[in-house]
Amino acid sequence: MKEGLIYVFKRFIHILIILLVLSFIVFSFIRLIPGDPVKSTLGPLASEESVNRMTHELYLDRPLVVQYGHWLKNVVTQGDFGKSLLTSRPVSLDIKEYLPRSLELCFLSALMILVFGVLFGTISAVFRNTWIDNVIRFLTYLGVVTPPYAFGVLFLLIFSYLLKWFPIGGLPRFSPENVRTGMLSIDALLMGNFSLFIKVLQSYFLPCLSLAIGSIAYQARIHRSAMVENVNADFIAFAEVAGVSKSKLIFKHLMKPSFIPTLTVYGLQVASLLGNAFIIESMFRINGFSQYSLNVILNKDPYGIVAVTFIFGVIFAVVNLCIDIGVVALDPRIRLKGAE
Amino acid sequence: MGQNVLEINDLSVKYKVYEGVLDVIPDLSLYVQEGERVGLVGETGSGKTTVLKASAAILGNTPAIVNKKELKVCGLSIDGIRGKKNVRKNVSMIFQDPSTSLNPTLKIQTQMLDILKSQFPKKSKGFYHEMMMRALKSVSMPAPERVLDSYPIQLSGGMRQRVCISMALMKNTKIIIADEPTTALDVTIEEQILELIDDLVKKEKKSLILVSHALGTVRKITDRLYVMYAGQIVESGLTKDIFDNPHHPYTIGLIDATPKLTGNGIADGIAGDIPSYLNPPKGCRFAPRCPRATQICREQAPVLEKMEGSVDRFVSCHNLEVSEKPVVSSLT
Ligand SMILES: Nc1ncnc2c1ncn2[C@@H]1O[C@H](COP(=O)(O)OP(=O)(O)OP(=O)(O)O)[C@@H](O)[C@H]1O
Ligand SMILES: [Mg+2]
Repeated sequence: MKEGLIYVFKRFIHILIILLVLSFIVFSFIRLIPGDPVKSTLGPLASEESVNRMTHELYLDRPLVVQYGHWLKNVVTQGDFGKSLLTSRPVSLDIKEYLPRSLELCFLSALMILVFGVLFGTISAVFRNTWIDNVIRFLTYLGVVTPPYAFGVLFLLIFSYLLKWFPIGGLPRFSPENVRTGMLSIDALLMGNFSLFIKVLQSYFLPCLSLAIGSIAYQARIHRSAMVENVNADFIAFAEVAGVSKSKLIFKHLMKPSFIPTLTVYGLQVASLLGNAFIIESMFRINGFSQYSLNVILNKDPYGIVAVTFIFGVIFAVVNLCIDIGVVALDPRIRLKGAE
Repeated sequence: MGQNVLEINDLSVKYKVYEGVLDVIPDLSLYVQEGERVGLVGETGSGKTTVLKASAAILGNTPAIVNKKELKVCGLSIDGIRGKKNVRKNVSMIFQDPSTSLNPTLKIQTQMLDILKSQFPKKSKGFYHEMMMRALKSVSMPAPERVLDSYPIQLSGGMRQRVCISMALMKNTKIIIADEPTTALDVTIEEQILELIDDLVKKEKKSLILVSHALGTVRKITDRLYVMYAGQIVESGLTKDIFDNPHHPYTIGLIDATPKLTGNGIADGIAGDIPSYLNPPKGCRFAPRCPRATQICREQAPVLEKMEGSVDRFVSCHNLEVSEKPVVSSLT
C-alpha cells in the first residue's frame, strides 16, 4: 500500500504544477485578445478617468506576471477570482450559484455511465456472440454515433410531452434560505423533504440520461472488449481448471483486470461531461455552469474566462486523480513501477 | 494399468481468426490409462496445447470450434454441467507459460485461496494458510510467506512456474496435465519438479500427460508417447520402442534434432516449417518437408495404422517399407 501512496502523491504534485501552468497560460492569452474589456464594459461614452480607474482596479496596468501573482494570491487565500465584467459581481459568486447544479447533473450522469456501461458491457461479454450480445452491440453503436441533443429531443418528446412521466425541462425552485449546498438533491435531503428529493431526481433524470447515453454506449463497448480479451487469457483458463468457482471467476478474476481499461476510458468520459453539458443545460432549461462558461467566453469577460478555465482544469484534474487512484488500486503493475 | 481415464475419439478443432479458419486438428484420437505416464511431443505450433486444452474442457473461451465423436474423462463425457464438474474434479493442468497463467491483478495468496475455498469450503484461516504453505514448500519455494503476499509481477519466472505447479497440484486429481512444466526453471529445479510429479503419479496411481521439448525428459519419465505433427498424430507407441526404433520420418527427424550428450551440438533436424493451418496440404501434412515423399503422399492423406506384431504401435505413413532401411540413424 505504501507504493500506492507514493504514486498518488506524485500524481498530485504533477496536477498542481499542471494547474499552475494552465492558469498562467490562459491568463496570458486573455490579455492578448484584441479589444479592451474595460472600454467594452463601460461603453464608448465613458470618461477617460473612469476607464483609467477601472483599469487600475483590475490590475490591468501592471506587468503580466504581477497581474497573475495578484490573481493567484486572491484565488488561493480567499477563493476570489476577481470581478466579472458581464454580471458585475464577483466571479466566485457566479460560480457558487451555477457550478453546484452542473456538478450534480454531471455526477448523476457519471453514475449512470458507470452502472449501465459496466452492466451492459458485462452482459454482452458473458453472452458474447449470441443474439443478446448482438442486440447490445447494435444499440451501443447507435448510442455512440447519435449526438446527445438528438436523445434530448427524443426523450422530451416521448417521456415528457406524450407520456408526461417527467417534467418538460426546468428544476424545482428552492426558497433562498433552503439553498445550502446549491445541489438540489442534497438540499432537499437536508430539508428532510423526501418527496421534493424524488421530484429533483425526476427533473434530473432525462437531462442526465441524454448527457450520459453516448458515454454509456461507449463504456459498454470498452468494457465488453476488455472482458472478452481477458476471457481468452491463460490465467482465466488456469483458474478455471484449478477449480475457482464460476461466480468468483467472472466477478473477481475476470472483472478486476477488465476494469483497468474501463476505468481509464471512464475518466475521460466523466471529465468531458461538464464541457458537453451546455446543449443539454439549455435544452432542459437548467441554469448551469456550462451555459455560464459559454456566456463568459462569448463576452470576453477576462476574469470570468480565467476562472471557468481554472475550474474546468481543477475538475479535470480531480477526476483524473480519482481515476488514477482507482487504476492504481486495481493494477499492482502500475503501483509497483510508479513508486520507483 | 487398466481403465482409460482419458479417451479422445475423432476430435477436430478449428480456430476462427481474422484471416479465416485455422484447421488445426483435423481428426485426432488418443487415450490415457490409469497410472500411465504419457508423453506428447512435436515441434512448436503442432497443436499440443490445443489437445490438452480440449481435454481440460477450456477451449470454450477461445475462438475454437470443437467437434468430437467422444471425449471422456474417467468414463464420463465432458459435455454438460455434470461433465464439466467431473473434468474439474479429475483433471488438473499446469500451463505452458507461467508469465500469463497467473492473474496479474491478484495476490498469489488470493488466487490460491480461491482455489482452496472451492475445494474445502468453510474452513478456518489457519487451515487454508497451512495448505498454501505446504503447497509452496512442496515445490521447494524459497520464502513462501513473502511469495504469498506478492503479486505475480514481483516474482521471477522460475518462482511463477513453481507457484503455478503448486497451485495445479493443490487439487488432488486423477489426471495431471503438464504443458512444458519446467521450461522456465534451471536444471536442478527441473529435476526436482519432475521427480515430484513423477512421485505423485507413482504413489497415488495418478495419470500424467506430459508435453515437453526436452526429449531426454520425456524418454526418462513417460511410458507411452504420441508424436504430433501439424495437428495430427503421426506415430504412437511405447516410449522405449519409439526412441529405439522410430518409424515415421518426422519422428526420426525430431529425435535426430535433439542435442546428444556425445555429439557436438544440434544435428540438422528437419528443414522447413509447419504448413499454414489456413490451407493445409491435402495429402500428408508432412509431405512438403518429407525426404521420402512420393506422389501418393501429396495426394492422399495416410491413416494411422497399427503395425503388425507390435505392442500398440501406430504409424501414419505411406512409405513405411522404406523405413526398414533407416534413412537417418538416430541416437547411435
Ligand atoms: N486461442 C487461439 N486462437 C487462435 N489460434 C490459436 C489459438 N490457440 C492456438 N492457436 C493456433 O493453433 C495452432 C497450434 O497451437 P498450439 O498452442 O496448440 O501449439 P503447441 O503445439 O502447443 O505449440 P508450442 O510448442 O509452441 O506450445 C497454432 O498455429 C496457433 O496459432
Ligand atoms: Mg503449447
